[in-house]
Amino acid sequence: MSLLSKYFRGWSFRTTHPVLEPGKEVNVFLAEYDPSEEAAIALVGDTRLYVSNTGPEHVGKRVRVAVREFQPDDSIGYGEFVEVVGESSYAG
Amino acid sequence: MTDVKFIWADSEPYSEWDESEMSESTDPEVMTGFGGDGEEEGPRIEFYGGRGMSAVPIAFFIVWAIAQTALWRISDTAGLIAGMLIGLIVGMFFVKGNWKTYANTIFEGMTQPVAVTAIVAWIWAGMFAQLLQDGGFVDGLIWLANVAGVGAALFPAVTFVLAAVFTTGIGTGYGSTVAFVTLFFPAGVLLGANPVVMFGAILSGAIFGDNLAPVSDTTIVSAVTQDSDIGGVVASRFKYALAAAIPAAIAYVLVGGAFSGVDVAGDAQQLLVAQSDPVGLVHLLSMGVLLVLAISGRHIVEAISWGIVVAVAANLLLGLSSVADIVSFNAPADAPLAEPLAFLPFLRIVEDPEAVGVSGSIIDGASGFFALSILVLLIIAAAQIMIRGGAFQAILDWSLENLATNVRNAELTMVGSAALINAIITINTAAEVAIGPYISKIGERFNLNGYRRANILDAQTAALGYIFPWSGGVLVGYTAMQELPAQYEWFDQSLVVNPVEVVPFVFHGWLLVAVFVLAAITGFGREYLIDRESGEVARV
Repeated sequence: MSLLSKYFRGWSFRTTHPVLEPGKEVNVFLAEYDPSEEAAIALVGDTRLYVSNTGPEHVGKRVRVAVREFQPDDSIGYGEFVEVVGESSYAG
Repeated sequence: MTDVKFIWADSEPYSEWDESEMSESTDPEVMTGFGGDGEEEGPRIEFYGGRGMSAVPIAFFIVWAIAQTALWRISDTAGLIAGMLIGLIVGMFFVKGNWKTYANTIFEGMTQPVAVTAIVAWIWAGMFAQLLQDGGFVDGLIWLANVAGVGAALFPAVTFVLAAVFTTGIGTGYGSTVAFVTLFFPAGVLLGANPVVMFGAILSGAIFGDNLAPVSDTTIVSAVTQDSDIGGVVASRFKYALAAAIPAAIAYVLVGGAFSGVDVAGDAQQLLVAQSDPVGLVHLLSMGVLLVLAISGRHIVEAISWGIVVAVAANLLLGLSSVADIVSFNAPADAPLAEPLAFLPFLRIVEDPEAVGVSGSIIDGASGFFALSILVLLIIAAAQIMIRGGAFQAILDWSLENLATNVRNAELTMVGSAALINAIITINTAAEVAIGPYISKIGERFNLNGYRRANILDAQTAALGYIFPWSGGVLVGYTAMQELPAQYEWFDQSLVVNPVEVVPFVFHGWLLVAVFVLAAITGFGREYLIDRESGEVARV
């Protein structure tokens, strides 16, 4: 990214319900774990992404997720856990 | 939500949680925890009176800080260190069982990378800032105002712009407030500008730079607590700063024309000429080098070091300061090799025993941050006690249940909490360090990227630190202003601005807070982690 483009990035209004693209991999923080779905949940704004192959130990971690499906009407996505890529900025 | 068990970052496996330790959430199924998972989990500390008591050290510090800075107007970082130390000792008396875990947690907190990164960046930034100040940067800006021939009506707006440029260069809003109150304020008053509006313009310029400068202490804290690169943070906050600064400048033009000044006998032109020197403008180059390198992704220590090299070269080549002004060994005459090496440009022989030591821009700049460095270590230690004791988690749980229920509310909560703590604690950097982990956790939950979180945090920190009568920025400006009657015969005591009067005229501060309230509501500038990840914070 050029120096100038860094200044002009983000001059826009971003939705509270961002769209996820099936087939794409994204990095997200996992916010919760839902035992009934056996999946952790990432909240991307108010969009919910259910991430399978995860456990409670992944909550709070930054993980890479392969997005499998997205329902735009409900702003709900489903994806597969790929790997842990980072920690919270203040892991305590 | 009733079927979902919330397990927070680094939580213990929930099967190991005792029922009594469960969240205070209204939902019995909701379980929370914070403080390290499984193997990484640090020891928990139990307190008499429940986990809320682990907030005693921080709470004691906040009460101390409010009393010291807001009620008694003592803007002294060393005093806050005492408050935090006593708070940590008081907190220990509420610990159940062995106090060793509590003591070890203090060390654990102090060794967090957040604190070390901020301290290193501050010390480098302090050296750079002092070189610019000692190199006559402000004199260059005064020259610029003088040759532009600005009148009374426009002088506050020009003061705002120049103070903003100056603070963006040196990073310290307090330092530029003192410099501008001492040098620009009397000139503006003589020209016929309204004193209250002038003071407001100076504070606004300080806020702009404190918020945007890569060498600003608050910029550094905002970036490192949100795990983001400082250059990227600066570039990403440019839009918010501009969105507030343009209307603020227009407001100063309008108000500058509408509010009349005070008739005083004196020659403004003479005052400006006496303190102006165009050579100081060379430091726009020092500042530019640092900005370009920081934003292009160089390590912050590397970027500031290059800025220091350019500033030192400019000061020496253009005669703005001598080698001894930059670094000087002040040795006693009876030192073994003092007299024979007295020809060295950085060696001075002093008669007065109290003058023995090392001095100059480099040491003055670095040492200016020593007290703040100790304070930040202690605050982070107290925050760690709060995390290990569970109070941090309790506050988070409550916030997520009642405030940050969706991304818009989360951002409004971040704006409100950062604004509140900065409004009540005078020394804004200390307030920013204390609230940093909370902002991080709320923002990460909704996958707001590090730039967005850092920008929300720092805007409130910078703005609220210069608005209220008890704010650090207002206090240092007011203190500097009280020296003016002794300095100028014509400067009557009645010209000293009452800190209460300036509150509505700190336009950039108010507008910056308003910009972020609107940004949270409308989504302006919002970025998620999936849109862009911030660069690695420049850790050492």
